[in-house]
Amino acid sequence: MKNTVKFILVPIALACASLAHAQSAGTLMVRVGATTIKPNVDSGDLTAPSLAGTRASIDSASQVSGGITYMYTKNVSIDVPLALPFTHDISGDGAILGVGKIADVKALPATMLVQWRFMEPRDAFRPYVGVGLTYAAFFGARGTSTLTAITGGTPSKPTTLSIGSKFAPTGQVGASVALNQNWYVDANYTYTLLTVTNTLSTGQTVESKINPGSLSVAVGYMF
Amino acid sequence: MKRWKWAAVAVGTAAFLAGCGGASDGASTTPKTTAAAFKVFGDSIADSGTFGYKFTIQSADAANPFLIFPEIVAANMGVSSLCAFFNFNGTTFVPKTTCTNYAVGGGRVNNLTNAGAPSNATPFSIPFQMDAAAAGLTATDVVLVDGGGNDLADLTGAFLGISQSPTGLNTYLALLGTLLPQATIGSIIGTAPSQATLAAAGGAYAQAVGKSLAAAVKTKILAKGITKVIVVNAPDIVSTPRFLAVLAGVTASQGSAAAAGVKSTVNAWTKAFNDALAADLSGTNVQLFDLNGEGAKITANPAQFALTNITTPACPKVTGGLDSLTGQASLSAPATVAACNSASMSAASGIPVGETGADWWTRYAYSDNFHPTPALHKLIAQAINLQLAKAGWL
Repeated sequence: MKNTVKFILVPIALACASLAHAQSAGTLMVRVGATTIKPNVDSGDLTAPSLAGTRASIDSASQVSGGITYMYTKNVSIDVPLALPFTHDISGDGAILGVGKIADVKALPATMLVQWRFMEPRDAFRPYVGVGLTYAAFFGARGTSTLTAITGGTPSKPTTLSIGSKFAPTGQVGASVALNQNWYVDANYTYTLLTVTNTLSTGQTVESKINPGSLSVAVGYMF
Repeated sequence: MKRWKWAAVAVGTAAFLAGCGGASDGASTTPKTTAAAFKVFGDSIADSGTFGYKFTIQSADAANPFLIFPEIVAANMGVSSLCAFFNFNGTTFVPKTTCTNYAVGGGRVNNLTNAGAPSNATPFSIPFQMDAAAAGLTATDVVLVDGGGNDLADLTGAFLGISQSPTGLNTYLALLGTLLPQATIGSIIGTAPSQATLAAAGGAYAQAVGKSLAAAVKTKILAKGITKVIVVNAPDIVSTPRFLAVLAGVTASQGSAAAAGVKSTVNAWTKAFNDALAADLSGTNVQLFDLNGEGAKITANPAQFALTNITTPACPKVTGGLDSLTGQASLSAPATVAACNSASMSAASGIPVGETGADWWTRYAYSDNFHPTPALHKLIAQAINLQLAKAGWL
């Protein structure tokens, strides 16, 4: 929370400091806002021993986010979105649909994008496209008592799960609208082609195509 | 200017890294439902050790016994271990009042057909087990009941006996008469009994057994105000190694058509039992678990359940440990109980021809010729827990 506050305050503190040209080469832009990640899950089946068609779904999650963008040229920028970890609930699907939540996991996607910004630095409206690489870090996975029950475990031998972190390609479309010489609003949508392997402490695995789509809106400051 | 940029980057990075705080993977061990007490009534597949052992492969590690399915379900409701209420000392059953598993190997819904103890005033009678618990049954208890398998096995044995001895028909009719009125039997069989009418009378008997178990659950359990009751229906006994051997015997002596006839007859009886149980429990809040249907899923696709052998008993055949009818290993015999041990079965000398790996027996469905392995118990427990999770209990 303390860090969140700091993060929000930075652009405000900087508001009186910059005289830079808007989105021209060398401009540094810092933004803060919110992101919702919506996984587009296509779950594989849990390996034996299991009921045929045992699958999992992953719910959307939202979090405070932001990012730093550096204008390398007047059109090419480097963008690093930042966010606090997202907590996704994982629920039963397929043969185990209806059991409710079986786990939650923290996800922290670390992405670096190269963007092409259309129009000219002085234009208020600048749409952009980006491509990049995401390292999807998953940690703190916590199985529920339901997961233990339906996998034949007991509270003294609970079933845990882990999700393998991995790199994945990311595409992005977005736009920024300059409010004045320093302030701007930004909205973008990123899509990451991500397939992960979930491993249970029973040794069983399930491959999940997650392909998260993230919608971010932010207010930023250029300096 | 530059200083500001780097300050912004530093603060942003700090925020980013703060989120990475090292939470490790884990699990919640607090059950959704905690049972004040978990009480079990039934037969060998639910027996936690009436005779000093469980009817499955014995764990060599005494501190980590293999769990049977009611024990796994109970553990997930916060009852970490179950012990047998009735303890057989060689001559009689001694109650251990701190224990809540009343199930007894050989338990029957109608124990009048138990050749060894034909009475409904013994712990072999599942309704008697419920009566023994009656004083302590309270609304907050969670109850699991299984039954019917041994009743159906008795019926099958008597049916097969009709052609094997001159007194076989009378024995069969006497068995039917323990539950069905003579008029009912007479109206089904008529004056000239045929295989078909005798089988049909067996169906009426199986149905009566199912109704009898449902009535016991209603009057002895639900009437106490208990809201969390799990009733497990009769398994597909036709799929057990014991029945497969019996069928092979029928095929050898009377041909495959006769064996197929016996199989379909027993299947029909099992269905009659399970249908009656389901019909009479409908409208109650009982969670009726279809063990029969679950078994069919496993039989249809063993690999999906990580089983490689669903027809051969895993327990070794030892002198004095065999089923007198089929010559297979039987956990009813102490010699087999002693030999059917995880350590000796995992030892090089215990690995059967054709199997590799010390854990070979974890991929078998049956321990002896009638009872599940710990692996199959776990699969059954998982399936029950899945149903209970969908019902919001777990």
